[in-house]
Amino acid sequence: MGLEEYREIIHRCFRCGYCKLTSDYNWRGFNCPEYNRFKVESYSPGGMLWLSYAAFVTGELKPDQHLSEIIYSCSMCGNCSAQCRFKFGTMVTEMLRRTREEIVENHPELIPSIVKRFFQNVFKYGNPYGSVEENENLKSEIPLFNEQEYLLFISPLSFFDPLVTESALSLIRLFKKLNISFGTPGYEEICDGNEILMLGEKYLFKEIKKRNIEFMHSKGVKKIVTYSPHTYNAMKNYYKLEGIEVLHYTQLLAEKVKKIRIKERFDKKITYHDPCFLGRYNGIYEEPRKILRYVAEENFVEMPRNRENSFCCGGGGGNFYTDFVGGGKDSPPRVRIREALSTGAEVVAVACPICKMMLTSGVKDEAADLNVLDISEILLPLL
Amino acid sequence: MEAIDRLKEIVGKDFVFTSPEETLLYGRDGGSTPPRRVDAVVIPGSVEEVQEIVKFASKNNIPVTPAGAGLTLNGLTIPLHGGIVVDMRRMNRILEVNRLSRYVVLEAGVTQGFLLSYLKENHPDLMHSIPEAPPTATVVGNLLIKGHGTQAFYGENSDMINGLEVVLPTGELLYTGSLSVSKYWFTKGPLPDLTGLFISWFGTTGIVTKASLRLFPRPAYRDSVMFMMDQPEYIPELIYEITATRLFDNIGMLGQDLPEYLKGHQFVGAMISGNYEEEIKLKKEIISRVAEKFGGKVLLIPEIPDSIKKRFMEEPPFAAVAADFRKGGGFQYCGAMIPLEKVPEAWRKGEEIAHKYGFYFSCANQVLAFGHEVMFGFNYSFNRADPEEVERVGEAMKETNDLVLSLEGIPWKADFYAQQRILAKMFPETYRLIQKIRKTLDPAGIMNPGNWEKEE
Repeated sequence: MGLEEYREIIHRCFRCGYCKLTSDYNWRGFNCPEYNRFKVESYSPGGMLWLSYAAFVTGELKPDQHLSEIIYSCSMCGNCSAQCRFKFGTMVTEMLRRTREEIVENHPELIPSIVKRFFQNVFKYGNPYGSVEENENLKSEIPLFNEQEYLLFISPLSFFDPLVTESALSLIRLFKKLNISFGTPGYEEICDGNEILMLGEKYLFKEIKKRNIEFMHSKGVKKIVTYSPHTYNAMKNYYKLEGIEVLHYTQLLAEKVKKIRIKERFDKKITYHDPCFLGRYNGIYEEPRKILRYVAEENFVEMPRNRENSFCCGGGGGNFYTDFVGGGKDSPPRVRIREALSTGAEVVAVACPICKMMLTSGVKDEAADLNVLDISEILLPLL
Repeated sequence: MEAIDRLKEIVGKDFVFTSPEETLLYGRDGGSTPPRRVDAVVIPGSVEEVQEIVKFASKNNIPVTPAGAGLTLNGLTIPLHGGIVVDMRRMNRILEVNRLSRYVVLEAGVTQGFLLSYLKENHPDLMHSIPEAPPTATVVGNLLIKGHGTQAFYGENSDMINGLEVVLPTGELLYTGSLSVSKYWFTKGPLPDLTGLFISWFGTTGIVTKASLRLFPRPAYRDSVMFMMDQPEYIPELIYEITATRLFDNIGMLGQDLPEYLKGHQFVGAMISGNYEEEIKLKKEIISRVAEKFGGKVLLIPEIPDSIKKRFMEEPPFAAVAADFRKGGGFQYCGAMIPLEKVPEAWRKGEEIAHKYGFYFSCANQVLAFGHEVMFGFNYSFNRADPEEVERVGEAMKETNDLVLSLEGIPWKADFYAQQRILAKMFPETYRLIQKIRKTLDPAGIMNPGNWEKEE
């Protein structure tokens, strides 16, 4: 499909720029992470739409690798669609995604090599990183799915990144302590396809979706709970699962939180970073906060940009892997960590493996005295 | 390439952009101005960097066009002769708010939205005169084009400047206003007024890097009184009577073909504010009484439709809504400063021009001060994907500019065509002095060349 469906709409943006801001025009910075990082108009949502129009509709601009890298730098955070004041605004993020489909389908020579590698690895190994070496620690703790109430997807990132392994283990231990009946696909778990879709490879996405659905059906799954909001988004909105309930783990915990007995309150000042695929894409803002308020009470503070105005960590749309946004003082995770520090928080709570990876890198680059912890890592020691 | 390397030395390699996909957007805007070439976009982070850019460009005769958010829609930041566009938005600090003297000192890249939100959070009792531009427009850009806003009662926004910091075309730094003498930047001062050398000059006399801007008390309540009529001939007297009450913050006018139920009517809205509910009630009552003087020809709208209310009362007012009437991503308007008495004729003839060229009629106008002048905005929303329509809107704009001059008005934010028409009509010695000033300040002729000079 590429841009076909949007050929008559994509030029409708006149670049007023509401899409770059929060709904209250928060003065701390532009809320489009790529524009805020690069400062040049091409990296803004409107700029990308105009470039896409000039390159793929009118042909005024000869598309090349650099154009492609600009288009792929978008973290698909959805702020543009959330903030655009016009009726077509809901389509802005989708038009940017479709531009990637246009590249994949009609200009494959423009696909950046790192994006190709992402696709190839997911096709071959089921994850972007390549062949999986089993981590005995993780393996010994993962209960395999065998007719339990929930099938838990912990994300293949847990097999590769020690930070994510830690959070996944924490979630598993927490579920066990709470007597939640669950199992996982174990090392059979493959990528959910969300990033594949965001990178514009819809045929590979269909293949991944098919493999995952076949697995669910073969195991008779009725309820799914996901660690990653990216998995949640793909399965909830694109898998069209009939008769299977999909939850993010914060929804499940929020339901139970009042019944959870904790030994003590969390005694550090804590703030929460909304993952885009949980918040803006799926409207899940309050469940994580319900848990954090319960454990931290008055120690919980909001960042100035929160909920639909949250500032993206910069890792979405495959950028945690492709890194088209790059580093530097204004890289999204560093900006976000500075914002967290401004609240006086000692801990940033996250509910997404990609946010954890990105923000932890931000902490290192800022040399900040701050911990990035998954909500499960905050809750578990308190039980 | 040597030039690009030097620019990278000055601002850092991350802030010089030369590829077509990075420069293309600086050579076009949402209006009908034909796209033009930009050789490099440079994004400085400090006044020293701006000075070095200008010195280098001056030495090498490279055209320099300063830009804020590029939202004038009339191509004012699109270089007529290529060269460097200096995007000022990296210089975005709010440096000082003096609460008692009510002014803010800010860098040239600070946006309207950021100033609004900064004041709400840090100085909730203060506000600036918020223009109808989108919140991404820069404050300084608006000041330099003689913008106007929600506090039009006090005049144009450019009247609220206490002073400017400017990098002159030869690289020297200049301060206008009291900062040239005092550490407080609270007044233009009882000094020779140099600030005017940079307002409406479209970047031809230097690059403004900082401004001190007056702030005003933020009221606790805001409301509006809306009048409706179906003959614009009543407007001048209506405005005269409303302004005579001295109870308004600003007055806007609106007319548009869409939605259909608004067609053929003229709307005049008086925005009011106050710190007490009784105060608002009383102001509304007094201003509403004005309608009684028009024998039923001017009606008071008891319930203002939400769409109109949002258009006028939001901060910033959501004027951009008119841009999407045609659903085609193209929008341009001929804003014109006209005498109040010329409003009816502008309204009727503007309607004729819009219909003649096949566009929906839409105008959004603002009364400045006490009706001392009116900004009459003839809006054209068009489909930028249709080259014939783009050309048509260009022709409509030309005819509208000619209309404005024939009404003894002056096009505001004049595009290249309008500038030529204004200069052709201008008193010869005025034109000669403008050129002398430019030549004195910019001997190399690098600053946004082609603007405010007669086409050869």
